Amino acid sequence: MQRLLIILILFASCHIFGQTVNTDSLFEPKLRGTPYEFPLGYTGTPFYTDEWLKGDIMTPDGRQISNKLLRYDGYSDLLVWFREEDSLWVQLDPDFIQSFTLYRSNGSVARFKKSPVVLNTAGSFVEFLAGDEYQVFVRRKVAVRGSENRKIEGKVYAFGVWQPQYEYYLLLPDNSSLRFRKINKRSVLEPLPDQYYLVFDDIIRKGHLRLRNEIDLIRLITSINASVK
Amino acid sequence: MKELRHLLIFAIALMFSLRLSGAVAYPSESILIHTDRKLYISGDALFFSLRLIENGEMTEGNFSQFVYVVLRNKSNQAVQKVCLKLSGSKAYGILHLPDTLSSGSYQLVAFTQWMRNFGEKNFAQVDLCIANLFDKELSGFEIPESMVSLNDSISGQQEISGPVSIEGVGNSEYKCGGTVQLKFMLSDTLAKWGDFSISVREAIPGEAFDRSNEKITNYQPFPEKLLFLPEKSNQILSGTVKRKKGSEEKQEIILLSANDSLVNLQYSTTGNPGQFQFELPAYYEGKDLYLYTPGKDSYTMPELELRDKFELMPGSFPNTEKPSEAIINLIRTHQDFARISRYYNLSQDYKFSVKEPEELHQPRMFMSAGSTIYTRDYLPLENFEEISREILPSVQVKKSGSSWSLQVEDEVHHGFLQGNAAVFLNGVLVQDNSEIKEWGSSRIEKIEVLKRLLIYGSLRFEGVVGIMGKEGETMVVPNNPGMIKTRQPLVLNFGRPVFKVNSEKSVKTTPDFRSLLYWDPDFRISGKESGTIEFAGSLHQGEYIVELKGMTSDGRLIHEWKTITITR
Repeated sequence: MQRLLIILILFASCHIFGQTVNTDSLFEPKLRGTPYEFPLGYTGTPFYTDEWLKGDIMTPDGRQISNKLLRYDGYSDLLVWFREEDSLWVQLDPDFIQSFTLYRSNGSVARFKKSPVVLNTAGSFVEFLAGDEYQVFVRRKVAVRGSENRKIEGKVYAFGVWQPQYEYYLLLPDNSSLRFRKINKRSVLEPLPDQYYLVFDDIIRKGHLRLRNEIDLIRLITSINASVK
Repeated sequence: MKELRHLLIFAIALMFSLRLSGAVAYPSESILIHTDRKLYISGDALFFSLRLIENGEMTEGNFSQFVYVVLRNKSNQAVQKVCLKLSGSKAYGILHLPDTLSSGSYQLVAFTQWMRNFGEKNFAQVDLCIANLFDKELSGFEIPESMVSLNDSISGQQEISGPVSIEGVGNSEYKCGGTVQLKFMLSDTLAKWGDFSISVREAIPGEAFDRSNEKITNYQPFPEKLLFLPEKSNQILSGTVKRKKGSEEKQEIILLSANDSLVNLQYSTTGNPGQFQFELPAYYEGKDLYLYTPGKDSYTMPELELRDKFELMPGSFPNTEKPSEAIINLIRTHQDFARISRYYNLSQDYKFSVKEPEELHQPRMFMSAGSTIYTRDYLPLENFEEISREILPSVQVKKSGSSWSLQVEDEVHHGFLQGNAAVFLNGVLVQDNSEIKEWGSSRIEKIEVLKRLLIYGSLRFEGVVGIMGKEGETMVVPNNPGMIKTRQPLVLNFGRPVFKVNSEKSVKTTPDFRSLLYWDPDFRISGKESGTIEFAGSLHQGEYIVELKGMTSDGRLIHEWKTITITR
């Protein structure tokens, strides 16, 4: 009985006093864009994720818009918002987005931002994978690779095939960058200038690191940043 | 033993609940206010400093960032009002007292909008006395009782003295026009630093520092309802919607536009009970704002009422008394000095350091328009219909009786968008498009057209036409039914005044009769080092008070003073 009383006191106090004053959500900026039009004549998906994910958007003036249903279209390099009140898909105006974060159902987070100028990607969105002094980004590009014939009402139509074609960008301390598509030692190490090659090679050898996928790449960059600190 | 264990759990639960109840959710704010003097002559500059104390501390990231300062008279009329943005937890400024002020008691009140939730008794107040420059008789002139005491009320805080020592460097007596140097030191080791404002002003006859009657207000009732939101990064404009009798009860959309040369729009929806709020970034400061609800029917249109952020309830003015003959004489002397200073143009004996202006983000509805035309590039056209026909083919005028609407070409699908385009005139949305009928090239500078459907939050616009007027026409806004106008206050950002030390030459050539010798609103000393100030004494001999107000790093409010004498 006494324990119940204590729990009740705790709950009551939380209820009475635990309110916080969050004006950010009350005054968050309005999302703006145009209705999204799904590109026709393709198979596959232009989207980075199969489902709508909860996400936050940061505007160029540093204000945050939270908890919206979002999807990234890697084919058109667009962030799409699902306006729940009328189920409208809205392609958001990229001029009003500085960065955005997508929260996956498994708890992992994808942080996208307008790519730094040095990456030479014409301001497209890139996902930040890891980094400090050395940074690694990935452009979640979806490209049309080949075509597929489909018969619709007796007629054969050629459909383009959407496939992910991710591009990785390494941003080095001297603000130079390099781009690669495949993750392996050869494609990452070979284009590196000598002074960086030695750093990467040293960390890979000492740490017995593999370099086959994104997780390996993130581990490598994290190790390099830890070693230069 | 079991009871003891339960008691322990109960105590922990209670502590946890109190922690939740306290400062984290509802920070208490109070303001420490310091004015350079207590007695002014109309036309004088009134310097003040403000320190926002949150839960008993001066913190960098304060809850509220905007402080409102009102100088009011005994009839509760605001004679001066300013809004300041805190820098850290401090702000300082200056009020120029107009010549038209009548002699009497005044009060300087400082508050944040968040403090309104806790009642006006919590606001910082300083009682002042202002004599009109031309009021020689001073008949019926009364001064606040507190004039002859240096005690102000500081919300919820106890002032203590002792930790700061003030010492004269060199002589203890100073000569008229000579240089005065004073040294300030933290005299105990508890404080790592002290953050103060310092004034050196002429003493008022009979002025005493009696702490026995010190008024301490510790008024912090817990609000039942939070009516005022904290202005954390931007100012908040709020108001209420009043429905007309018989009209349907519904959530209203309130639109807000600034009169400007860009298409801008903010909207807010009413909450309970019919309240609306806008958070307005620095861009809107000092601009004319227009608020209205969508629709054209003025019979059912709800009325909008804005909340005055400077509004104060009739004041709790202090008791006043007839001033002594010595004070009357002092005021008359100061009136004479003020006249002499004006004659020699000596009122500007300080200058401000300049602060960098903030970068403004323009609240554009769209970044780039589909097309922009400048009417000067074409032959003159009589009216908007001609403009649309001759030089703006992407905009189509549709007439139905006396009503007008515009349709915009769809840049993606070609053809025209189905619905009516939103038309903005000098930044303000036009409710009745027939208002732009007579707008020809002679009045229009440029027209921006957004040729696509625009989703803006929960609103939808079938294209946008933005019309910007030529010089002389830029202030013209549509005559929307029920629209109200307001001007967003400028947030002032004063620099630190720098008082010059007079050179020998200037002392000889100008009659310097200042009653305020020195004012520094931002004086900081560290625990181990002393801070020194230097200023010139005026040609008026007498007793002067060095007054220091502020806070130490360990959260103690400091109010310290010292009397110095200036002789011929």
